[in-house]
Amino acid sequence: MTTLEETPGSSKADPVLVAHDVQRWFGGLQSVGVDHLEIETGLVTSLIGPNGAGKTTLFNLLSGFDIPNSGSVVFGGSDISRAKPHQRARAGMVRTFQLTRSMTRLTVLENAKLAAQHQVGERLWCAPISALWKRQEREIEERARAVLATFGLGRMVDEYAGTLSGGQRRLLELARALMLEPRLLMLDEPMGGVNPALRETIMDQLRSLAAQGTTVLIVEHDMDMVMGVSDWVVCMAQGKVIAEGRPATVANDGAVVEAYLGSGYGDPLEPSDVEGAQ
Amino acid sequence: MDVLIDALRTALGPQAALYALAAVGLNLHYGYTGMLNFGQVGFMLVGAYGIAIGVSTFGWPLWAALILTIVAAVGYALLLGLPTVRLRADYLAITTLAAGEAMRLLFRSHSTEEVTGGVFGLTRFANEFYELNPIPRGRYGFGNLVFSHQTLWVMIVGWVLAVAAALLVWRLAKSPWGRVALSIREDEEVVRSAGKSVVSIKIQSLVLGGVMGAGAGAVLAISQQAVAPDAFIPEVTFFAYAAVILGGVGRAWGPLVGAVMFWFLISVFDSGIRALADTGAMPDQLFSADALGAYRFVLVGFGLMALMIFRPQGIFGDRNEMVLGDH
Repeated sequence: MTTLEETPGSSKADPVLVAHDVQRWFGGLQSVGVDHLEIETGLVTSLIGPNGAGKTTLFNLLSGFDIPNSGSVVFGGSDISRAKPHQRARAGMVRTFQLTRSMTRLTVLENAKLAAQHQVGERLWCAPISALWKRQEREIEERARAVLATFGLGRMVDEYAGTLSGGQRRLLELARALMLEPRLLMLDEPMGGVNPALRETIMDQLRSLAAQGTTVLIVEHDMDMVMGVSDWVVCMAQGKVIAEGRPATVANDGAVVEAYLGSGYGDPLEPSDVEGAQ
Repeated sequence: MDVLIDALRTALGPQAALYALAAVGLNLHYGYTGMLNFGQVGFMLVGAYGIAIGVSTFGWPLWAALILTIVAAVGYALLLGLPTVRLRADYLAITTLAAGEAMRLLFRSHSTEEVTGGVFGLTRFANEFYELNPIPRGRYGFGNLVFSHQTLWVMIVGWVLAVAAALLVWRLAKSPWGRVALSIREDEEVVRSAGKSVVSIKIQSLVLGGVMGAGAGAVLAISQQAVAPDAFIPEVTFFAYAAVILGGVGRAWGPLVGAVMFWFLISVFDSGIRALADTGAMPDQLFSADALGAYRFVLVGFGLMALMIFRPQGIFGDRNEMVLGDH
């Protein structure tokens, strides 16, 4: 990590994800135009930027939930530009959503169990014969209970997911994502709507995941969290990557400060501006 | 008393059995996978004509016609599903509704008359089925509730199929396959992000539930020894929906009970209105012969409204689950 270059689009030693020339246009408006971005394996990388910078759009493009107008995405050495979202998830690229999503009328436990991979009982012709999948189901259930317990949802397993609070739904989403045993965990604002007590739980989980070597990519507005857990920070503005580097470097980057505060910041407001607006 | 006997006869008869079977398929689509299929009648048409065309037009034995029926139903499901399952639920609803009507018009059109029998349809293709009847000639039942040996034979086959279908759906719902299907009903994006193919599960559900619908159509054709295109109007789908909703959406056994209740109520209302008309207490303009048939559906409509107000989850549904359904 010490050898990584702190310039936008710099090449990494062992990138798990490489996005090249990824563009997304909505009509005449370019929402994302990332020339080149590499995410280093084994690090916690945060993607920051002001509202409307294109962070979530880039997330959707990388995870296959949106299709870019041009560009390529290489994950773990193979080109996944044309892969569907579920194929990318199977390959180990697992995401959560900015607005939490869960199956409200399924229990917390079922929500977690859904995400386990290679389930024999998901094949239509095996499903009616429970003998074929009972043993695997038990293993999955054990693992799901363990993962849910680490997120403090151990007592909620039999409740409908719809009864959880906003913060608990974040935890459930994280638990579900971990059930897939991801190579790259992509979290879209994991701190959104989470109270301080639960924030600590999430931070702890992320740190321990990072310690186990899972690569994590986070979109986050919460600067305490970004500075607290990130090894690397990428800043976007108006669809472009404008800076990347270690947290301290990016926090003091002139372009980043300008992007957050606006280029006109500091200029006194003229009376003529106000009249013009009217 | 006769009113209730008549109602019971309808509620247990072949009609209710085949609606139960169609409703079980519809429940798999709508209750378990969240697919709004408004054209279950199209599958029933395919099933009914599969038997009729196989036997009458092509002169095949019954088993061959049965295979044709299943193949045709799978084909129809794929034709309908492959282009539309990626779309939102409401688009699937419009497509299936239109496809059902298109099938009816295609089968009644002059150009297909040689195969389908046109407007008049086909008749007398189920002799082989009735020859298989192991029940000795006669009438069976208690008191006034009696069925002929032929009706009883269709009834038994119909109900066995309906119960078997419900049993299969119940097993599926308890399996990991069912978990994916239910999750698709709740939120497709989560299922995708969990690495599951939404399209393939939806197609499987559509095919399986569609084959059940086709089975219902086959029972209909066999029970009447006749098919005509205009029996397959869109209302048929909505009657099946009424059975699903009465029994409880997403409950494996709901459609069976729902179908029995639906036809029981229809029959009670029908007899009740006729009895009322016969007393002469009501003005004739209100109770003309054509209007009588329509009134029972008005009453069923009121019944469904009352159900939605007082027990929106249906007979077997779970109120708590219902409340959580509103995102």
